Amino acid sequence: MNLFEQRRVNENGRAGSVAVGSRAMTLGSAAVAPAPAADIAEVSSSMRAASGASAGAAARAQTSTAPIIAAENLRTYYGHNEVLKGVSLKLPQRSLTALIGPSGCGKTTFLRTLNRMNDHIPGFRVEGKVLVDGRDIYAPDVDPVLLRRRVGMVFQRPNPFPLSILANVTWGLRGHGLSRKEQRERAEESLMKAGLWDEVKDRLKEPALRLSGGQQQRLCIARALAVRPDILLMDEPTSALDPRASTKIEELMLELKKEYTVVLVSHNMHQARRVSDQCAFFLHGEVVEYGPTEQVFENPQDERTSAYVSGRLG
Amino acid sequence: MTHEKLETAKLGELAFRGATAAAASSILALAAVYAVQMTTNSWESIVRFGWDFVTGTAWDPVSDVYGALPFIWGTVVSSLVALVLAVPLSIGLAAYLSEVAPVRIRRIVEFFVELLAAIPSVVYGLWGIFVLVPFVREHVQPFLQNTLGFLPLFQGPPFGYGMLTAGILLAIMILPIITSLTREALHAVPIAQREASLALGSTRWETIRHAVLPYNKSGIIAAIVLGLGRALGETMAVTMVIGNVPLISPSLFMPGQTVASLLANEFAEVSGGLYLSALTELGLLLFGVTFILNVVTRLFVPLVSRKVGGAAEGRRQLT
Ligand SMILES: Nc1ncnc2c1ncn2[C@@H]1O[C@H](COP(=O)(O)OP(=O)(O)OP(=O)(O)O)[C@@H](O)[C@H]1O
Ligand SMILES: [Mg+2]
Repeated sequence: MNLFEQRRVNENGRAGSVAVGSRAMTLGSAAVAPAPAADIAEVSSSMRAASGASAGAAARAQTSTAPIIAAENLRTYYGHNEVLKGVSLKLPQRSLTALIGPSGCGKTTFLRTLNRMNDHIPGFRVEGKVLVDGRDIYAPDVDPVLLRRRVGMVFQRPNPFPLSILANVTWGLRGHGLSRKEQRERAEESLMKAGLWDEVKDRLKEPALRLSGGQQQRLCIARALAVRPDILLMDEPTSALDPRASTKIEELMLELKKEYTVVLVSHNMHQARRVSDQCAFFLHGEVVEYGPTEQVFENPQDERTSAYVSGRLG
Repeated sequence: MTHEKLETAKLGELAFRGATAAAASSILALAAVYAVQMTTNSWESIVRFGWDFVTGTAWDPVSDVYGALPFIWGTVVSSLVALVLAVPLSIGLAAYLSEVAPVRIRRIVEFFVELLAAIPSVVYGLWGIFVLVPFVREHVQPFLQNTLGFLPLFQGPPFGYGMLTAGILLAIMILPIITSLTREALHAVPIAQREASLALGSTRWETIRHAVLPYNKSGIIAAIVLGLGRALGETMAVTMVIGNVPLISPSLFMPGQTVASLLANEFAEVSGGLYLSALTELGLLLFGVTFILNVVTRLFVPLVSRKVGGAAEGRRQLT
């Protein structure tokens, strides 16, 4: 299945018709070439309409064992500086994978290759493969703009736009062909998922910058969810927050991983342990150890991992 | 450091502070003296004509009647034409340079923009006379007449010399300042804003249009206002191409005259008395407007730097 088609099959669809389904098929092949955004949005919504609940369940059953993200011998360079030195990782769907490791080992770099955010950095280069749903996201026919609608990102520092709360959440919906009302509903849905709705529902028109740091970060999560990604990348999302705000976001992560594939970079061992299902330990651009979180923390196979998780390293 | 050395250093520090304070206050004093002197020198005209000076349309040194409206009109219209042409171009260019252009192209284009800024006004004027005026007369004006000729703006005989040419020339002259100040303003937009937008699946264009440009609106406005100030005061080049006829016409094809070009033309032949007083009042007017514009920008600019001050971390280019 195409990278951008499969995205919506699990959503509760409106009643659809067969004709819509066949249209999606033809559009699907067109989507191999970089297509304008509107077309893709149409594909996904018609897919949504076409696939009944059973089709959605089937798709889920089919993919739940397969990894949604797979890096194969991934090497990245900033100019001549090789930062990732052959990383291979398979991240399963609908779970939370934590990336841990000392500063400068390449966690952020890895995360940002997953939604091609590093494309903009002069001199940045990728070797090897990153597959999302089996499709190489660095293939020439993949449009990074569409990829990023599927692979959302939350940054280390909350970075809301200097606009109203509502405008922040609906920001990414431009070009999705939604009416005002639909956008508003989408905003409400996303704010609820981000656990922020109750705090902001009476002041959606207020400037987002008036929110507290923790609220801003949850707003950024809501903003990312509004685009309906399948994958959510989080780069130390709590490191700029106080403990209480961090706890809130950790609780949120536990909710999110039921529905999304979450990749989390964390410097906080307790956090990684509490929220993640798998854990990858990075060191000097290589993955030293990758396994179920339990095992990585309780019974690490590599001496360096045990040194790191017990606080003896980095 | 020994005690004496410390003392000397302190003395040096004091002397330095004194010198800078003196320099700063002498500029203030200069501006004040300038304003006061111009006001006294134009007092006769101010008292005599009152508001009629800016609303009157007759400028007649022979019968000592001075109404400056045609010159104010010429100044405002030529500057507006310049802004209409230069602002979109400058902002587009600045956005391209700051957000899109590869380093090498950026360097080259920036070099040429700076070059434009360094060309003396009179050279622009000569170029205007020999290149721009014929070009406007033979190509631009006939084209506008054929396409938009139903608008009063583009009616009348194509002289070449006139408001339109002056506006175009001014646009070229203020392009560098607006471009480089806008670029500076865009530079101050944190990289995190761009990344936030891109990460949500916005295109580069959407990111520039909706995340980068609006973030530092006031910085861009400041750039435009400073460009306007430059256009209002420009003398030499405008005088050479505007035609120097005190007309108030809706058509941009017609000649006109600006305050600055009038001053340049007539100060040589003035003998004194009310005539000199009226000319000085025109100078005062220009001084006042430019002063107000600059104050307005100053009010904007600190706001800008305060807003982006904490966010200057990421100044990486987005290409
Ligand atoms: N934009 C860039 N240009 C050049 N080199 C970079 C860039 N970003 C990161 N690097 C280099 O890549 C290496 C890995 O950086 P990265 O940010 O991925 O580490 P990290 O594991 O996320 O560290 P931290 O835990 O401190 O966030 C570092 O040596 C860094 O200097
Ligand atoms: Mg990092």
